[in-house]
Amino acid sequence: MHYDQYKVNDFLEDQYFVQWVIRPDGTSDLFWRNWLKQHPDKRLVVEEAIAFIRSIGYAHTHHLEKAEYTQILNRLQEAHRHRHKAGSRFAPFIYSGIAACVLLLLMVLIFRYDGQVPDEKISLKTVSTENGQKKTIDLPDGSQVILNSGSVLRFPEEFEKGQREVELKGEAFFRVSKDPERPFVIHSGELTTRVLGTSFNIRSYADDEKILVSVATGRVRIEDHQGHIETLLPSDMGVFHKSEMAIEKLKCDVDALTDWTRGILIFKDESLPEIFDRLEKWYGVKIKIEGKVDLEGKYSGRYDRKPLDRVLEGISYTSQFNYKVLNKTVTIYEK
Amino acid sequence: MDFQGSSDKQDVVSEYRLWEKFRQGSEIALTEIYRLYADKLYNYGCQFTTDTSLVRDCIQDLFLELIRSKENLSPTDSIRFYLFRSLRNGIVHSLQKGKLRTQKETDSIAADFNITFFQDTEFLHDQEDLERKQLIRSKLDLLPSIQREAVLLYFYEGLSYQQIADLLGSKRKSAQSLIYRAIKLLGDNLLVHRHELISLAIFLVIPF
Repeated sequence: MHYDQYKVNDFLEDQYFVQWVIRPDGTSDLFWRNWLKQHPDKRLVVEEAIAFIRSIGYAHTHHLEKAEYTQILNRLQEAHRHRHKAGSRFAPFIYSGIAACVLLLLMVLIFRYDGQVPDEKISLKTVSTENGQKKTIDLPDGSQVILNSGSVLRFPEEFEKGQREVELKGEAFFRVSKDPERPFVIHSGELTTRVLGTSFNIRSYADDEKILVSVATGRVRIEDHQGHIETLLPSDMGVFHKSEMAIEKLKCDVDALTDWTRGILIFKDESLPEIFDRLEKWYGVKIKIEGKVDLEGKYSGRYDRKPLDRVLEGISYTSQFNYKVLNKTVTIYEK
Repeated sequence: MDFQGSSDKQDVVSEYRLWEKFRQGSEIALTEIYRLYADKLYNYGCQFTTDTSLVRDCIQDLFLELIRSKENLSPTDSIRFYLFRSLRNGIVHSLQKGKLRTQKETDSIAADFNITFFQDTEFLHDQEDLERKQLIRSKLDLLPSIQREAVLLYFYEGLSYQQIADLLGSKRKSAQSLIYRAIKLLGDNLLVHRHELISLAIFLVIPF
């Protein structure tokens, strides 16, 4: 049965409809609003269904007292910190990274030499940045990489004859020297980026849902593990969605995306938890939330080489929190 | 405001990301998940028992267990469902454990999950209206608590049939029929309050 034949009861039985009424998200909102525009005759039926849904609630609602809320939260944060002592955050994936990278280079060697046992050992270099750090790296072929906070770059001491391969975790801006004989290949999680001689930005943090590749100059080809390929030209951005395992191509403002290489921090309509997360990486601090704090709202801002204090001041001014900075720890608490 | 739902506009992708960040060890993500769901979990838990300290303990245990085993958790795009299910299991387990000790109560968990049917409407009430409400309330009271729970999970918490089935430990079709029957029961009384519906319709149509 199509939606245009639905009566009130049918809408109520439709979980997609009910979920849209209770918790609209981008996709469902778009769908239903469109559908309603195309079927204005169903408006009253839909409104009746919405009224029904909105009428239902708990007869007795219970709320946690603030003290109880905070007591539990404190215990949880304590337990969490106890489990995550000193810098073990990067430990899990560095371990798997080394294994993957070495395996990769080994495989490449084996295929090229057609079964001949290579007599040279591959020696890999690792450069990593802590939160709050940025590093510029010169690669053996003259290419340059600017590595952003909380990132790791692995590359061989000398590049192969057929390919130049590196591995990236985190974010970096690459200026690849031209070498038509040797494509430059970057492995970043599930995405492989292949270039000849260009400049582009790759953002591939482990805890992000997407891997982003944006091109400043030249031409870049990205490929995922399932063989999907996209070719990107200047001001193109390739987005790899980890959950859907799909590649999307969009237009982008490369200058804005590479502002970080010039020390400019920009927020565009981001939630406070997201902003705190980025500030942790950018300034190399730990941000703790104490008690029950209102973290609603989206914020935008632009900070050109400003200290942490100025950024926090700016955001807290129009929001519901106060903050305290002590060495490398920021505590957020209620206003 | 027209067709907006409740204030928490949580989309699938941001739920997924938040959970991933938590799995990777972000304390901010933990705090955010707690902030978003602690109160809702408390309300849900208190429908099962009047022992509020038991509910609080169960919530704490639930999060502590998540913290302990986060690397082994699978990705999800519905943190709400995941937490509700864990809490329900925890509370039911605790309540049954308690019963074995006392051996006094022999009946199954007498849960609340009482439903109010006139949450959002603020219209003038006359005698006819009052009688209607009483009729609906008496019908709702006759429903077993598990059906009332299903109705609230579906129409208030916004869980899917499959999720409700998983929560209650039954099959999707059973969960569906619980809801369908409730709709049929309540739906018969729907068209009666015509005044309210017309006022509502005008209220909602005007913004367009």
